[in-house]
Amino acid sequence: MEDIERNLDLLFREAFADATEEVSPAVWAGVSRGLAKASAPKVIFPVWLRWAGLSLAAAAAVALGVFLFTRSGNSNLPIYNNDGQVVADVPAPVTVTETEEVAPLTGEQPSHSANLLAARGETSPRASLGRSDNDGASLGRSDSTVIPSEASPVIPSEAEESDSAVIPSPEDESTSSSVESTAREEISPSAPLGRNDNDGSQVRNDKTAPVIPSEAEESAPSSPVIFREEATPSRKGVSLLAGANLGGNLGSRSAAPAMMASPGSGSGIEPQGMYGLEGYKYGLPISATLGVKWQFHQRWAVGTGVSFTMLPSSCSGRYVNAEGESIYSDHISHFQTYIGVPLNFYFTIVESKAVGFYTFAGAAVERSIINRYTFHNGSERIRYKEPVKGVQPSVGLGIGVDFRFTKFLSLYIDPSARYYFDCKQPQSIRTVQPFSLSLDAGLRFGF
Amino acid sequence: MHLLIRTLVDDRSGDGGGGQYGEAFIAECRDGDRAAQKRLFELLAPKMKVLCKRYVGDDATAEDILQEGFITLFTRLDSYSGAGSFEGWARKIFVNTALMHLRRNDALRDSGDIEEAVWLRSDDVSPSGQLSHKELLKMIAALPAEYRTVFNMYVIEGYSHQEIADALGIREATSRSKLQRARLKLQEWIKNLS
Repeated sequence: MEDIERNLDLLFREAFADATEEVSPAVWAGVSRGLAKASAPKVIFPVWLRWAGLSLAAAAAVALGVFLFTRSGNSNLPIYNNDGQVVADVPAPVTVTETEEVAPLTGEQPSHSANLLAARGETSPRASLGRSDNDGASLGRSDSTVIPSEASPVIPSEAEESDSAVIPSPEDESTSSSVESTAREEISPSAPLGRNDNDGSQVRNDKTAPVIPSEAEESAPSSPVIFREEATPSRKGVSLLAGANLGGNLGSRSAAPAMMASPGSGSGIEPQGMYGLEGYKYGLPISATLGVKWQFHQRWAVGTGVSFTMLPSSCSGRYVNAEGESIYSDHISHFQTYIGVPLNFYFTIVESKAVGFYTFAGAAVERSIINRYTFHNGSERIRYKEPVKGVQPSVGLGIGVDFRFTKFLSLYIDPSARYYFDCKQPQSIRTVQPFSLSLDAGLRFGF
Repeated sequence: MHLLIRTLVDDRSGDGGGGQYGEAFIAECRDGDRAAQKRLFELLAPKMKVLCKRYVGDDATAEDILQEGFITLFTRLDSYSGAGSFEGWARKIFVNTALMHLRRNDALRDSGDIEEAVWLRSDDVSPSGQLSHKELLKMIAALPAEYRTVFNMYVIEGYSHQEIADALGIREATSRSKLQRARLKLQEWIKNLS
């Protein structure tokens, strides 16, 4: 029996040993087309173009923020008369010629700036409006342009916003109580008069110190006026962030069958590795981030931290082990995790006590820590880990909103767009679809 | 025994890692030299077409697999170090491509026992009485895909039953059983023919 089998095997083996068949020319044409397609450079923008595009996007985001900000904090400061009518717009001062602390003003006390004006032979002031600096501390900038006067109370305009700190006229006090109460939250009764500049400084007004126009408003009617500006809370300092990210680009996506193998091996048998991976289905990429954010400027902050990302997917394919044995499975779980360091710059667009809107842009570098294939072959499971070289850089930008529950705790939601550069990482949704949209959310603890 | 057969299969080309597939020639192909790639195609394709046909049976499908296999071969050429037989290495790629095709088409599902197949006509037999590879190909093609695959992998390629079981996702005993039944049927057909 064995001889018969052996002879049969030999018959077939010898018959096919050098057997050839004519091949249609169409096959080479197809191979040639396939190779041309495979070797065609991917539509990848040059590095400089990518950076230029991202820079433009970041610039556009910042410009948008500036635009929105300047709309909410008018750079031309309106001057109101007693009837609440705007009598003139005065460009906001942009330079500081002198800074000096001034004592809190009372109705009849001349301020330092008033003295300066007086020394220059101009309107004799009885009080001055100071400007708050970025951290909200009051200071009397000598370039103050408005001097309040008790004798000339100011009527808030109809368009007065709740955050605005203005001085109601005695006769209108009852109708503007809500405005006043809001203003009082921001203003110490003993604080000097102040106002916001375009940097979002805090308003300081003294109810007992109505305003009169300064030298800049000489052409305006002589009736008392006031600058109306918005108050925005100052939040400089460090905060800790703990959040999670849900990536976009879900779905099933078939890529060209991949043949991956550990480099350096190779002989007559196939080198150890994964072959013919296809039919990829990608799970939801999930990230968790612990970070720190430093608000180094009224509007600017920088944040960094550590992120941990999981990229689950499934596919079918073949694994060749070190001995050259091939194992096929149409159910392979491909699990990847990355640890990374993001660096983002934040620009606050608008903010109030309860909510803040900002835009951000930055980059991240991630490194694979797990790249594991699990073969499900009936009840048997085979696990194969393949080391991954290199890192996965990415750049991103987005907008965010910060809901402030307390002074120390806020919830942030950051929808963002991110681009992952092609750095020979194992197949994942990032390599197949490098541009992704994602949603970050988390808690921020301020100090 | 398995290793011996495997070595024989791998070295059947006799190129010993060099020969007509010399290092410089392979390097040219690896570097994307289309003329060199075409030469390699012309050398290998006629043999590999027979291999593909053994697995899938019909000519058109065999050429589809041949095309897919060559694209894989050229794009994966950098994983061939030159240490072993190039043709043996290439043969594995075509076997795997054929297996992938069969799996995609669910052809490896157990279809039960071997049915009586349309058989050779007497004029298919060569005048010398020896069965040519074409006749044998027809016989193999008449086998159900899972029997054909096991027979090809074991008898022609020299895989062990364990390897076949792993590659096809079946039990080793099933591989043995299918091989046995394929052999019996082929013997029967050859006997009838002669």
